Amino acid sequence: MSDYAVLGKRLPRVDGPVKAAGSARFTDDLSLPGMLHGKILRSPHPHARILRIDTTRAEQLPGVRAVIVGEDFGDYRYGLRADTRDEYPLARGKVRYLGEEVAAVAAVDEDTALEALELIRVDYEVLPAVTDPEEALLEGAPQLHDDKPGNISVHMKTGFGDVDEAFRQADYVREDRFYSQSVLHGFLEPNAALAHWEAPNRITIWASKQSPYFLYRNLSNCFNVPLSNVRLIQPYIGGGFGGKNGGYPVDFCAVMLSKKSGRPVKIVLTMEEVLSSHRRRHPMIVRLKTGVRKDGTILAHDCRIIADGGAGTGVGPSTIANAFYFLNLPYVVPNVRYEAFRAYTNRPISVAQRGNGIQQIRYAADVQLEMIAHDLGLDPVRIRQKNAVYTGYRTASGMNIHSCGLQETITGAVRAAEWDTHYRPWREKENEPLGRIATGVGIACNSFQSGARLTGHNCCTAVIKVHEDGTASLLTGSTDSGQGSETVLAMIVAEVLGIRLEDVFVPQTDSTVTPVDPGSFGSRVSSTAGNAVLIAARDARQQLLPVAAELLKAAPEAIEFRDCKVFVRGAPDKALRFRDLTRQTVAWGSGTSIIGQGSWGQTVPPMNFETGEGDASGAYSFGTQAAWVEVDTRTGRVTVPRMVVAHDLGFALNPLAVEGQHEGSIAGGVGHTIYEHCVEENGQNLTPNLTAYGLPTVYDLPREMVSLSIETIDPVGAFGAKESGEGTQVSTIPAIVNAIHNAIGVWITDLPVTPEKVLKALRDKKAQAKATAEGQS
Amino acid sequence: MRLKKFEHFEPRTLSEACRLLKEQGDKAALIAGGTDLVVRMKYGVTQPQCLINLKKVEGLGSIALVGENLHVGALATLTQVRCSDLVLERCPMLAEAALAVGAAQLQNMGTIGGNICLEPRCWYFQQGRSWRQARPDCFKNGGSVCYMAKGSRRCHALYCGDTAAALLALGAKVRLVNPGGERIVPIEEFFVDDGMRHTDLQPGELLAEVILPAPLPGQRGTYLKYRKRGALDFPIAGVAAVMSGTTAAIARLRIAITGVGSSPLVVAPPPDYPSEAGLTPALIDLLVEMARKQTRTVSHMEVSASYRKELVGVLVRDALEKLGGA
Ligand SMILES: Cc1cc2nc3c(=O)[nH]c(=O)nc-3n(C[C@H](O)[C@H](O)[C@H](O)COP(=O)(O)OP(=O)(O)OC[C@H]3O[C@@H](n4cnc5c(N)ncnc54)[C@H](O)[C@@H]3O)c2cc1C
Repeated sequence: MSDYAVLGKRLPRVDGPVKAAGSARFTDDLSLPGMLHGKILRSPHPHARILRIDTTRAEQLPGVRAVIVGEDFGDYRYGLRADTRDEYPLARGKVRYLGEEVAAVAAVDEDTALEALELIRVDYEVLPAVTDPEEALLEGAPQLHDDKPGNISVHMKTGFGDVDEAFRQADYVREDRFYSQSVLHGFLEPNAALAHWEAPNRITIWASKQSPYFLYRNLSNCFNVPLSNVRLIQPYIGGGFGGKNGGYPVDFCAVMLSKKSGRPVKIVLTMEEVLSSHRRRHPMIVRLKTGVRKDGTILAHDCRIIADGGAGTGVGPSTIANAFYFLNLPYVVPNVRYEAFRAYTNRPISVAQRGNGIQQIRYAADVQLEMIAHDLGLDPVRIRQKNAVYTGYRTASGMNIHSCGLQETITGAVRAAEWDTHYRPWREKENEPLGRIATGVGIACNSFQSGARLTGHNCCTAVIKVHEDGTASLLTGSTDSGQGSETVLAMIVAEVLGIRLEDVFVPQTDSTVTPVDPGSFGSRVSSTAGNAVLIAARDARQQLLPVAAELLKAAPEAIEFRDCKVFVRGAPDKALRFRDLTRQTVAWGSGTSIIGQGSWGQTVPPMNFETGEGDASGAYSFGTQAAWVEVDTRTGRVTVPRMVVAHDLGFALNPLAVEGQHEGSIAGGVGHTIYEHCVEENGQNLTPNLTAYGLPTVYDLPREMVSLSIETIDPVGAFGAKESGEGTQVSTIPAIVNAIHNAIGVWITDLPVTPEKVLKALRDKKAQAKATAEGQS
Repeated sequence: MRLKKFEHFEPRTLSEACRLLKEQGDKAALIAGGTDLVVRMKYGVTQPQCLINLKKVEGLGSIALVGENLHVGALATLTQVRCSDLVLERCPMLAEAALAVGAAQLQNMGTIGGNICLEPRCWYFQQGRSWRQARPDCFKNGGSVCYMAKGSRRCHALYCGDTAAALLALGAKVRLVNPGGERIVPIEEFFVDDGMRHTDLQPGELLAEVILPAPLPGQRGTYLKYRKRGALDFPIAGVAAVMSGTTAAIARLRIAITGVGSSPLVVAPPPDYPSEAGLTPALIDLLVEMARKQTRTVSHMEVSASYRKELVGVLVRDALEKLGGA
């Protein structure tokens, strides 16, 4: 058992009270003297040429202080990589999706800004649109970007091993098509920015960003100002889930409007704008062919993906690469082939969303494994145990597993779900009449990157200032977008310095003050920033040690920091209070400041977006989920009364925070599986409000959620910790879909699992059975 | 989503309210809880130049017995309705229906009058201005198409009020007040099967109260609602059923359905059905079939017409089985 004083304890989050009390200040809560309000004009067409924009009347409206259009940004484009910069702050020449930003206005109040929008005249030449990714790739389809022929935003083709030979060797081969729909991030704080341009070239911006340093670089490039002059201050964030990573038109426009008007400008999107035209998850069509031995051993995967990228590339290359990486995990796949197209369509841009490409592929692969188990009469648990990867395993593509508790998560989930009592194979139930409510259980496994290793700057840095009264401030650029990292990072500081959690203050990110950081994506903060914080805290302690040794008359190695005391190991009476030590240290000699610093990069080279060879991360988490479903066989409604998450997260830095993540994963996963869907017609979202879109409410979530942490103490992450954020949402979908099969014997390969689809599947099955029976008689 | 400017009146009496309503004509809208109206105003699909707020009209929220009948004032909130002892004692299914509306906050704000008069809904109507600019206006927004039923010459917006089904099944009447006086009509005559104008309210007329007859011996009822999620959502189909007498010998049986057309509808056993035979499986089958037939719904808002019909059948069966104690 670990002997930590702070870590591993169920400590409530430090940002809990202010958020619960409503006193946490989000971007929209802020205002500056003289501030203007900005509004954005959007395209009413999914695809059209902009012939002319006339802003004269808007500019003349009293109260309007600035109007901007695409030309104001020159040729500036942004994107993940140099070759994928295909987004403009405001449309240039063409609009490529309904809701794309065309112009923006700053005025003395919101009403005036809205009125001004109506006075802007845009002449469009409507172009044929393509909103289906398969159609977009066909010859003759409307083309979105002149420099990207064939509407190909990203193409990846790779393989390892000998797939054809493996299929020849296989006893059983199956091929299926799976579709994962368009879902939204579902954060409750709309995107917002408050920007202040100070002539000649200084930008201060408060923006809701989970990864603020993307925008910091974007703004420097866009406005041609040095990074030292970009001050991005991060207020509290009302959720991100991948939808607040980069810079977006709202940010660029706020700055440009401020530059033009000479006043601070705030833009807060409406929920309708967010839901209808902001970023969302990649819809994906996954065609998967898998060969196995009779005993269920996987021999090969051959996978073809068509992803709907929407009108821009965003972080698309990472999504496409992720889907490949996690075709290789969590099961042993000796041979693998992969080809993916990310198609441009006239839809809002697809980006990362909790799981970034991995949900879609694991939904396909894990449901198909269940199909195979069913076809071959194999036990679903055993087929997973048989194929599970293990510590020391290296995938065909070269991902290295340094710690793996997958088997333990399977055992744990099976036990917690009382699997043996509740599970009966569908084959056994098949001939019994279906009751009004049919029940079933399902299981699925996952793996995830513990800190995505992207290209470019990938290192986290922490600076710890120890104050003379024995408290500390932690400066980090790793943002807490609601996941609780502020608490966990502060706990690491408290542990190493032997102080209390409440003695550590973590100010929010401020690019002028906090060290540059990649951001909160790819489940990286606790493990990667955690290591930087650990090193920084040790550095600070190191600076205190000589003074402690002197005062306690002991060797530095013998000194311990704990419970706000500094003492000689084995002789607790030889102690001094931590705050006496800090007071004495700052005054020692001619005085000093105690500032610890630490950086931690990644232990693996950058992802190879082209071949997918090598690691995607320095460490991988593993997990298993079990779902219990009830299917109303008359209405098709599926409910999930109970769900188990068992996750190998290396080490639970804060078990309470982990539970929160697990429950959040279940909520997100249940939403993605059953409830959420952007219903669209010709590129227009018919459900751009939270009533119609249908995020699950608390009544729609499992009444019972069990969270199990399997600790494998990873060699890479801080204190052995791996991720426990996105990974836990990866297998929620297949666990539920597998459970539905176990309940009613139908496979849902097209998400979401709407009641109507379930009912239709049941009908089709009945009709088929009848036809077969008639054919036989 | 900002509100356009409007005038705000707070009449103290019904007659004053009616007079204002008549005077202001089309420019005016009545506001009770505002949970439906304000949403539409923010969308810009309803743009009244003046609001006549019923909040201060004295006595409009009372729930009281008048002789044998239970009078529920239009301004009674859904929370007051579902917590009222009189309602719970005499027609608990009305409380059931009030509880099925939206969520607790909406029940606290929303009134029964507003719930009855709830504007029909459609994914192409209740949308913001910029959303609507992307396509020609539909009938309900002043245009000449219905996106729910292509080629249709009428508006197919759905009436989705929950309590209406319960009130119809209970045989309620409504008291309507106008500048010249008042009229009391059975609630089924109040609703009109027209997505554009779904009530029979005349210019200057408003709904003052709902009148529920005394329960018959052995009366029991239930309201079953099918919605996408466990809270917040409007009915995809809602079915109310009331039966009196005994299972063996039915005195009166009435079913009402909401959420499936531009007005709620009533399903009653054919006049010649043998009531002394009781609530037999055959009668249940018959009513299920009648209900499905009477549901002439268009494909709409995430579910197809045939699925909606299917749900109606399931709900009617469940409701009747529940009443029969099966
Ligand atoms: C998120 C959300 C979910 C909802 N879910 C449901 C649901 O599940 N089921 C449901 O039934 N409703 C639902 N509603 C709609 C609404 O909240 C309720 O119907 C509520 O009861 C309306 O009452 P109100 O007093 O707020 O109406 P108001 O908004 O004040 O009025 C509604 C309409 O009725 C008219 N009106 C009001 N009172 C009178 C009167 N006395 N005489 C004549 N006309 C009158 C108004 O002019 C207006 O046109 C929902 C609303 C929201 C925002």
